[in-house]
This record gives sequence, structure tokens and C-alpha cells, in this order.
Amino acid sequence: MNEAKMSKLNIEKIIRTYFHSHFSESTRRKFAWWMVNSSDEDNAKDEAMQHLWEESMAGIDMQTLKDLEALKSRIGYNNSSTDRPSKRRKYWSAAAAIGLMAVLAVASYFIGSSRSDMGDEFVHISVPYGQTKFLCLEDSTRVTINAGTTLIYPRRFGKGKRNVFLSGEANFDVTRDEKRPFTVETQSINVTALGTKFEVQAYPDARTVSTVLEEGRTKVVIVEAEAKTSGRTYIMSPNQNLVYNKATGEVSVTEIDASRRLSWEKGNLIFEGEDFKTILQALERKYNVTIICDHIERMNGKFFVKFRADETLHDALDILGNLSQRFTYREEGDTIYLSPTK
Amino acid sequence: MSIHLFTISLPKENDGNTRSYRVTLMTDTEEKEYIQAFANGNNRAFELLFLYYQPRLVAFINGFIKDVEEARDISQDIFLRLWENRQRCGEILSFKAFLFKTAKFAIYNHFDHQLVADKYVELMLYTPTETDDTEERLFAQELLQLIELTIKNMPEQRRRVFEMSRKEGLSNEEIAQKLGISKRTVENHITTALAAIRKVTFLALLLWGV
Repeated sequence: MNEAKMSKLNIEKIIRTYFHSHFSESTRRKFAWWMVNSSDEDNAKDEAMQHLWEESMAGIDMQTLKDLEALKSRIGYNNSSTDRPSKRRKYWSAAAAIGLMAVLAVASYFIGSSRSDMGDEFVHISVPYGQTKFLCLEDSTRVTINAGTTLIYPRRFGKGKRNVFLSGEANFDVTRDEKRPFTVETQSINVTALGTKFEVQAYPDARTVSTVLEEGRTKVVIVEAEAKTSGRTYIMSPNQNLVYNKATGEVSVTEIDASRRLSWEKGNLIFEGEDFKTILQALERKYNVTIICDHIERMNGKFFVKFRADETLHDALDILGNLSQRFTYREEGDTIYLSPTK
Repeated sequence: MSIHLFTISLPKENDGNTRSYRVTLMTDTEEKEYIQAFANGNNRAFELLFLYYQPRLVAFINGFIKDVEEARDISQDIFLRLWENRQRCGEILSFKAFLFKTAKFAIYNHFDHQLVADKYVELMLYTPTETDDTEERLFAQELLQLIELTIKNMPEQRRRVFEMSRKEGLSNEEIAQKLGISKRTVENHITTALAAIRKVTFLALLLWGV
């Protein structure tokens, strides 16, 4: 074997060994120096890296989802900060829910089949617009998932904790197990319960993330790293509603009637002092439509309104119209155009 | 086994029909279609590409830089730049190959910064690795052979500059005077990063025009 060929083999071996090992600082620096110093062996380095790239296999875990959420808010394409919610936003949200389901189904296959340093096998549920879904987890915890929501949970909970990841809105009726606290992780807040009934609302396109407690006790931790309230912990009592503002990092806790608020489970939508945009977003999710509202800034004020499960979208819009006295609407297919009147 | 990506039949842009999806394994041609959809503004295509490739990207980068938080940050930046340049992503022939090149760029870039920050890096190349780990000792011995080969293969002047700096401990100014070259040239020879930077700038230009 000639020298060139031998060194090529060594290069592959060195890079491969390094890739799979954890060496000391001094060895790492030597390796870095050797890697960046250009010479005849560059092709061999490239090839070795290429092989490792081909072999690299990793599955989606909660961290991946969190990274995606973080990236989306950094890009800002789902921040409906304009007064005209774009059609595209809706377009991808509904699509994302369905698409995600597909992607994750495939991903779970990979997680399931690859060597599992990811720990547990995760199950991913996405509920498209216009639907809600009921689910029973391995520990008998019952979850009702609202439209436009993704929930990720391990097929089996490990020892010492039960963690799930939520993007969207869901109600949890947690089976009591004091040795394994149940935590709902979102991009901004984590809600931990021992055994209790509560709701978490964390839609990526909303300004706020909130949690309502119906029974028992929960602990809420602000996990958004850049928020001024980051790391702060709140212990909640029944009928409290904690609202975290994603833009300002502010947290407010108010008293509400939890059973009323959580009745979206039964198809009702109840708003107690919500702004107009929040209501439109909820209607979009429930009825699977796009609502475009010109000059939404004119629709200021807080709204108190209840929509019953059997009411149609038209009923809801009429109620809202009567209530606000401030808009007319027209329909084009799945899109509703609201125009405020002077 | 070589499975690239599943596909979800993409609705025509903005036709509003988002309800029928077909899940299959993806061929290279279909992957290209996928990139095309993303380039045409389909954010969902972007998200799916992220979900499919980001875990692999993080694992690959982390294998080299040994800092998983940093590997995740780098991956975020890669996808952010992709999104910012989405109109031009239609030019990408293979997404997987593209990501590999970009990851390699990022790894070299990381090494460069690490080495530039450490002025004495070349002095430690010959300091023996002190470790109790047999595997690491063996690794360090083999690495040293390759390092020596690299130095042996350096262009004449670069090697002289390198050895004067390392063995004789001369300053850049002194080396410049001895060899009758500018201090800047000496610095260029010393800066290990340079080769890698040259190597990757071409790529950066090609892809992002930076």
C-alpha cells in the first residue's frame, strides 16, 4: 500500500473516531488545527465528512419542535402583526397541522428504527382546523386537543417525570402520580401538575400564552430565555387564569370561571374580556375559515361573548356584529371579509 | 438504505386547497419539487424540510464541534439564512448535498474562530496529550502523525514561517525581517484559518452572494 492510500485510510479513521468520541480540550484543539490546515489530504477529509453525513441519523424530539417554534418566531412569518391577517398565514397553519402529522408519522418511524439515544419513542398528534380530538395517554391522563394544535408525547412515560410538548391549545385531566409530575412544555411557559385539571393555550400565532386551572394545583415556570420574567415561577389555584405576553414578557394572573372558559371542549367558545383579534382567530380555528379584517385597529375594546356549540359561523358573525355594531361582512368561499363601518 | 424524504403532494401555490396529502418516500426529483415549492413561498415545505433535516444537521455539526447548544444555534442560523434567501433556493440541485456543504462551511468556520482566538495553538501541537484514556492516547498519536504530514506538505515558505514561529519562538515582525517579506504576509502564513476561509468563501459566494 502506498503512502497516499494509507494516509487516506488514516484520515477517515481519525475523523470517524473523533466524531464518535469525547476527547480532552487539548486533543480537540489539535484536531481543529489539523482540519483547517489545507493540504493534499483535503479530498480525503471531505470524503470522510461526507460519509459521516450520509450516516448521520437523528429523529425529531421535543427540542426539534422547540427549535422550529423559536425559528418561526424569529422569522416572524406567523406573527399576524398586520391589521390584515394574510391569507398565507392561514394557508400554512392549517396545512402545517396536517403536514406535520405526516412528517411526524414518518419521523417516528425513523426514531423507532434508529439506535435510540433519543430516549423514548414519541407520538405526534396534530389536529387540523375545524376539529377537536380526545386522547388518553399511557398514564390514563385525558387530553382534549383543540383545532390547529400539535401535541407530542412519549409513547411511554419514563421514571420521575411525564413531559409533553404542546403547540396550540389543549385541556388536561391529569392522573394523580406524585412521584412523576406531569409537565406541559411550550415555547414560553412550562406548566407542571401532580394531578389536576387545567388548560394550556399556546398558539404560535397568538400574542399570549395562557393557562387556566380548574381543579388542584399547578406550577407555572416562564421558560422563554429572553423574557424579563424568565425563570419566574407561579403557583396557581383553581379558577385562576395566567396570561403570559410573548412580546413584553409580562405575566398577569386573574380570577375567572374555569369551567365556563374550558367549555370549548363541548364546542362552546367563551370569551371574557378578549380582544377582537383573539376572537377572530378562535373562529378561524373552529370553523376552518380565513377571516380577513381591514383596519382591525378600529375594533378596539374587550369583548364578552359566548358562542354555543350548535351555532354556525354565520350565527357567530351575526352575534359578533350585533355586539360590536361596527362591521359588515361578505363571504368568498372559505374566506370571510370583515369591513368596519364608521 | 437510502431514503431521502417523504413527500406530501403540494397544493398549487395559494389555490387554497390544502386538504389532500399523499405520503410516500421521496425521490431526488421529488425533493427538488419540494425545494421549488419552498422557493415559491410555501412555508410548510420549509417547515417540513426543517423537521426532516434539522436533527441530522445538529447531530452532524455536534460531532465535530462537540457543543450541542452551539450546534443547534448554528443549525438555526443555517435555516434562517435559507429562509431569507428562499427565492434563490430554486437553484439548489440537492437539498441534502447543499446542507452538507453548508454544515461543512459552518464547522470549518467554527474551527477558524476557535484557532484565531488562540494565538498559541501552534505551540501546543507538539505538547503531548495528557490523558488517562487509552483510546484518546492512541488517537492523539495517530493525529500527530497526520499533523506532521500536513506540516511536511506545507508550501516551502509557509513551513519556514511556521517553524520559525513555533520552534524558534520568533515574533511575526522578526520573521518578516529575516525572510524579507511583509508582516502581513507572515500573519497570513501563520493564520491557520486562512486556508479554510479561502476554501469556503467560494461556496458562500456561490450560494448567498455574501
